[in-house]
Amino acid sequence: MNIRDGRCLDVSGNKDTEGREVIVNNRQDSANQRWRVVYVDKAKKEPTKGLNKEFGMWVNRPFYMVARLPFHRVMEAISANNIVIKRWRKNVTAQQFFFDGVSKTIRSQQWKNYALEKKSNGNSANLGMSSTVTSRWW
Amino acid sequence: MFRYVNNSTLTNDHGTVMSINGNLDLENRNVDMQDIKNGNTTINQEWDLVYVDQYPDEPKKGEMNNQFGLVVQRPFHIISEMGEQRYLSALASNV
Repeated sequence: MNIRDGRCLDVSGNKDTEGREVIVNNRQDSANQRWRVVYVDKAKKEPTKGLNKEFGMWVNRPFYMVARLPFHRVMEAISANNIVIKRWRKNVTAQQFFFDGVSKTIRSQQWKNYALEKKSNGNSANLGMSSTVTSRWW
Repeated sequence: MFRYVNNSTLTNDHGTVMSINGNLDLENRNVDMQDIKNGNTTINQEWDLVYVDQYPDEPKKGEMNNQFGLVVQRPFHIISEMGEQRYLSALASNV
């Protein structure tokens, strides 16, 4: 808080999105104005392995997403724009994904810079991938 | 941001879940994000997350395929349980 005018740091628009601007605003004591100071020497590192209970996935451990429809096909990334179901094929990394514990995204094992996201063009609800960090979409 | 919830759905922060489009179990069918209707998921919205190091190999010749209940590449007859116990015969494309 600025002790001169009582205004404080505020996440603009109360939107918890990557790259969101921080502004100085009148105090409202809302969650977007509350901060925790963590000293670097005390900061917890993001785990690079093990189960992340909040997200229900193991960190950095490749997995298949297997449909429960009768054929038990698995998700496959056929391009950045398209995720489809296909029959499981051994060692096909386009069918493998992993949970990245730092960005909290599900990433392709074949294209590791790409994370799953809902495509936002038009009314499409298609699942696709993006290479931007904002794949932590809301 | 996705969470794997109740060992069945991959849910985002809007509460929509990964779903197989049109509930069709077909090769190359798109996956999209859909709402959960009346709080109940449908089977096309449910997934098993199987880690690669735990994924079972496809059964080989002579091994039982538990998914389909048949032994792989092992010839068999299909016999009617009616009185005469007739065998299924393939006559060209007709059975």
